[in-house]
Amino acid sequence: MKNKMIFLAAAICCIGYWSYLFLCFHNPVLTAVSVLVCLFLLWLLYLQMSRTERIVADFFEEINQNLDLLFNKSYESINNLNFLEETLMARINQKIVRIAEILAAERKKSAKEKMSLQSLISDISHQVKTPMTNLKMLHETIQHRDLPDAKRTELLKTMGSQLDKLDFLLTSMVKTSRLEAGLIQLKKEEKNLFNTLAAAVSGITVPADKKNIPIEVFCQDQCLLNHDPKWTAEALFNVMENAVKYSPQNSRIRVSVEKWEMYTKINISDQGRGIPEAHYGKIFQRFYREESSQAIEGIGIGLYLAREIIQKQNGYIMVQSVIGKGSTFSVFLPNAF
Amino acid sequence: MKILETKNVKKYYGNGDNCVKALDGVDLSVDKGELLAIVGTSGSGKSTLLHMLGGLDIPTEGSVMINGKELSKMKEEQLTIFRRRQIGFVFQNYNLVPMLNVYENIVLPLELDGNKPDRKYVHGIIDLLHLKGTETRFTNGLSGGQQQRVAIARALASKPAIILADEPTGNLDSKTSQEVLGLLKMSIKKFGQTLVMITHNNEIAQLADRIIRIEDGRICEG
Amino acid sequence: MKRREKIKNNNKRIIGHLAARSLRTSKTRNIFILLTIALSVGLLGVMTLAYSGTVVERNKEISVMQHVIYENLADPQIKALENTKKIDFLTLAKLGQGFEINGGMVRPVYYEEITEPIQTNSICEGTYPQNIHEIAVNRSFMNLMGLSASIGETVSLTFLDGESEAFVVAGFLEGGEVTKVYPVLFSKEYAEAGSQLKDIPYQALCRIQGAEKQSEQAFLETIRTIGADAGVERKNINENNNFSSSLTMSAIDVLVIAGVGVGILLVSVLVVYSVFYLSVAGRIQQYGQLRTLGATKRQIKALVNREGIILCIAGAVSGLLIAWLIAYCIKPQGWNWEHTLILSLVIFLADLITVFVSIRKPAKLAASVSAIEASGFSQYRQNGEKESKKILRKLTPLNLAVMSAMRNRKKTLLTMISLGVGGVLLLTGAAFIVSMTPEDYSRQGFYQWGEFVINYDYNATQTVENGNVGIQMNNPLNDELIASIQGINGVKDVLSFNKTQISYDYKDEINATDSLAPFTRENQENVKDALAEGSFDYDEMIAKDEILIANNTVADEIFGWKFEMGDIVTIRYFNGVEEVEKEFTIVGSMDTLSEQLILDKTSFTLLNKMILGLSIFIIGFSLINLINTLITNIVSRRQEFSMLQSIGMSNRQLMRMIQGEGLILALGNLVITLILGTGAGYLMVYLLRSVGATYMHYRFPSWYFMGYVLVTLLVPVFVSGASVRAFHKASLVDRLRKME
Repeated sequence: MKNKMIFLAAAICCIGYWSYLFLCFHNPVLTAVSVLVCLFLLWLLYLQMSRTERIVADFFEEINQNLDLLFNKSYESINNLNFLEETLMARINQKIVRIAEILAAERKKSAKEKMSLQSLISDISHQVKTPMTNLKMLHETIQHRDLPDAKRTELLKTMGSQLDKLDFLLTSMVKTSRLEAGLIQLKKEEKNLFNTLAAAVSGITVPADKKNIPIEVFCQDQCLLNHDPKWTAEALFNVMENAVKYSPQNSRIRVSVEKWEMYTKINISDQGRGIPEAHYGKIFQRFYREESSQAIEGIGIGLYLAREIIQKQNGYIMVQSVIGKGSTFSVFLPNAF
Repeated sequence: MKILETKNVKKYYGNGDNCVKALDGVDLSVDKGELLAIVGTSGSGKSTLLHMLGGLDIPTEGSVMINGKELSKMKEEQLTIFRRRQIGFVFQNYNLVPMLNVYENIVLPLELDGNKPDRKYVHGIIDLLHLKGTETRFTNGLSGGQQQRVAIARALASKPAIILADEPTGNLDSKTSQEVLGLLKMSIKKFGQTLVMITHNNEIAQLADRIIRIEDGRICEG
Repeated sequence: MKRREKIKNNNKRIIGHLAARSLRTSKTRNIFILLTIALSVGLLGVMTLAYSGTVVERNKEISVMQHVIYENLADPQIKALENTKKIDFLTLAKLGQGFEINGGMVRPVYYEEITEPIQTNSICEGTYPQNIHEIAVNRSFMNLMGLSASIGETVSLTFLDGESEAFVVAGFLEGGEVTKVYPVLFSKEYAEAGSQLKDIPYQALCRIQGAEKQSEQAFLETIRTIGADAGVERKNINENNNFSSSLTMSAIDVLVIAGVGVGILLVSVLVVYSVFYLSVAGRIQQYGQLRTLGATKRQIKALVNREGIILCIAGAVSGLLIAWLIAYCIKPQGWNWEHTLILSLVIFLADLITVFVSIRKPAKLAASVSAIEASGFSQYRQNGEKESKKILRKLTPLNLAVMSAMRNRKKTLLTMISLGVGGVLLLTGAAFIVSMTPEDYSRQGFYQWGEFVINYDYNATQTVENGNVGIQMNNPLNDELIASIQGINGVKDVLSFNKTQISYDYKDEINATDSLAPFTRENQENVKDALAEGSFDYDEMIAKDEILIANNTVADEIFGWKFEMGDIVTIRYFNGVEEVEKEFTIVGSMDTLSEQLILDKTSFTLLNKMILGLSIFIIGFSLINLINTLITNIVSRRQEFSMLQSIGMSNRQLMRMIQGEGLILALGNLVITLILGTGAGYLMVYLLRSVGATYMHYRFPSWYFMGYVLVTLLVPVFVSGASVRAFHKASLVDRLRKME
């Protein structure tokens, strides 16, 4: 439309020019020559315009075709698009290829999530199996056999502890699965980290006192940080519980908070047996338990849960350890994001 | 899904008695979205391998494939454009352009491709990397950590499919290293990228999904 | 799928941005390039604009001049001319016999009161002389006569024939404050009846219709035809040479300007090239960095080109502005916007092309940097040498300098040559300056042989019977006089030149007057060299009464014919006793150089000024080149120096080393300059002499050379000192860190 207007304007100008020439100079030859020249120029203008139009139409057609590939999910063909040229089309192709990649990655991610949910379910069924079987056996024994009272009381006590274990297991499982399935949305708020830390420590004081392990906390009274207090406390509690569990009697646990440029670092150091360097990555896996720590009660879900919670807040956990001397877990929480 | 694959990559310098085998048959494949750490002592050929992966250098033998495209078959110009559009580099020595200010450095690869930088996105990265307020400063006035973060921001700004980082924390103290690494890890998760990182620090390497070790130009542990 | 037209990716924006940033960071280089470009453009501008100013000014003058004068006119011829349609304007005038009064030449003249559009000395005070006793003169004339300059004063004039007449001053003429010839304007009445003018025929000053649009040839044709139709002889047609030559642009001037212009541009190419080359070489890492980040070769090339264009535009604009100012100051009358703008545009384009040519290679070098090279680029790489001959060489700072120079043999040599070219040009320019002293120049003509010329009094030659010969009969310039002059303290030599007055008949010229001069047997070789046509034998000339014609081309111009070889000329002369008539045969003709020289004198002044300007320009260039080379050499190796310092080299040692390198370059440069520069200077003077600049004598420009030696040796010392001091603004660690 715009092109047509320009062309029309040019044509009108030409006609005006011709009449001006003819009326002012009364020279037919001059007029004829200028008419020819103008017509030639108009023709060139027309050619240029139609060329531009054709190029734009081709360009549009090509984009359309390539987007169709994306639409039809023919990733093979998308991968074969040329995006290594110094042309506009190549730049668009490059974006199309990246979109295809990201779509593929997202598909893969959701598949992976499904898988992990499945494995979580199988893990749960596996983990629940033992206490369930135990409970069933105990229940049967109590119901069908004539037992002395003392024995019965003892069995009921065992049953209670199994139920406790099952309860703990199920609570953890529910937490994990809700976290993993994305049912829990972490709510980040500008809150005092000191309070969060206090909540975590208060949960661990009883078992720590039992082993006579003092917990020293170094934290400013006012340490505002953007985080989800409830779940962060849960994560820190898990790390600390882990530390208490693997520490000998009369050792000490030290918790310190440092505010760095981008992250706030919470160090939790124990004087436990330590973790071999090769296992640094593995201890955060679900249901992973050190070969040497089978004797200690636990299911290997605490650190996993802690890492999930921290990562969901754009933070991360690292571990450093010296065998026989102790380990330091560092929780990094971002200051601003 | 493999994004990066090398087959029997060799790189020899010189010939005869003086022949130095920087890489001697490396087979490697990296999945999409993976964070791979390459560790090894200095002179083991780590940097050479990274250069090969980024198309900065051409292998004496063997092939490097990215997304199913073989780099050695590309023309010089294609390779350059490939680098510009697909790869973000984080160099050990930052490689920031001294005549440009922080913001300009960050958007340079975008501009080289003729893109108008997506201001919101770039400012997002700047916020993320705590570079707010330094945008108009020249890079030689920044601290090492800040320069490293600018280099990372630059690698992220063009949303490349792959980030290749050569000792991204090499010049940083352990505190800053941990911070920078956390950032890298988070960003690749956020932007669906693949990160291949060279380091000689095991502590740093623990954040990777996978660690490979290079010794005398060969991969010695997968 | 059909072949589609691809739309190019538009990623030029960043190039402009990078170029601007890069320009902001390399100020030294910018200054050098700006200076070079501004200098070359300024010089070109001044040269062409001043020339155009001269032309415009001349045209302005010509536009109020006559195109042609028809001389020696009788009444019927005047009538005929007045009736000629092609003559736009005609005014009559008379020019009487001049005479001397109190050492000043006085010329009786008559012209009409109103001579618009031809400019004559008009009356600025008083009135045009009306009656036979009234005259108008210059104020300075009254001074000459020792009278007060007021209207109504009576002046008594004694003419050549000894008669005295008294006149009343009716008015004063414009101008003539400083003059040797004093015109005296008489009334029309006097012109018709006065003793001095009545026998003098009228001449007609004419402007020809449409003459400005004709070619020189067509113009001459026209005025000759008009003359012939009115019955005016060819020799009486006196065209205005200024006007006729203005019809065709002087080819030689244009050639000189073009030649010098191309020379300036070539030198600029050299300097801009070397400045850019060194700057690019020093930034290889930066280009490699950009390549790594995804800049294509084309983008890098565009970046370097863009920088060049920006510098070129900035330099050219400032150069042109300066040139405008200077040209305006030189020729304020000749200022013409149209010419100025067109010439400026041409110069601008020429310089743009120059810059493009100069940065082609550096841009290519920058583009050829591969990404991986960025980190490892070192200028040492080109060298094939792998091992040193000795395990440990002496490692003093000076030895290190020598080693560094030897290790980069190619670069060292290139730098020396680049500097050498500047030096050679400088020495050539300096040779021109010292070979042409103002004294040499002002001594052109007779004065090249002496300081005083003694000749006959003009009034005497006009009044004595038989003119010149009459005096020669009783020659006051005799051997006795010559001997007594030679006796004066301080007189070295007296040279004598002889000629005699004759009249001759040849073709349509009857009884035309001219002069005859002899040449000696010893001189015949020189004469033979100047011979343009024919040949002669000295003895045969005496035996057979043969003569040579000097300045045949002048004859052609005046009469429309040439003296032909083998023709007979009848010559009459007074031999002291009686009038003799004798026939001579023409055997040769010559166009003497000195005559040519006078003809082209204006061109030569132009040429001189230009070469002088060029020489100054080249001196500036070679200095820019020298300083730039040294600074770049130091700056680009800053990191290497920091490394040396980090392992314990002291500032003093470092400075000694840098100075040593500078001195090695300087020495090589001086050797090249001395050998080639002397040769080139000599050759140039020789060539100029052969085209007529006989006033030039080659002299070795020893003072300039000494100055150059001093500068070449001192500049490295100062530059290295300043640079080393500049290094210390940054800490050693910072400098080292940038190495990676």
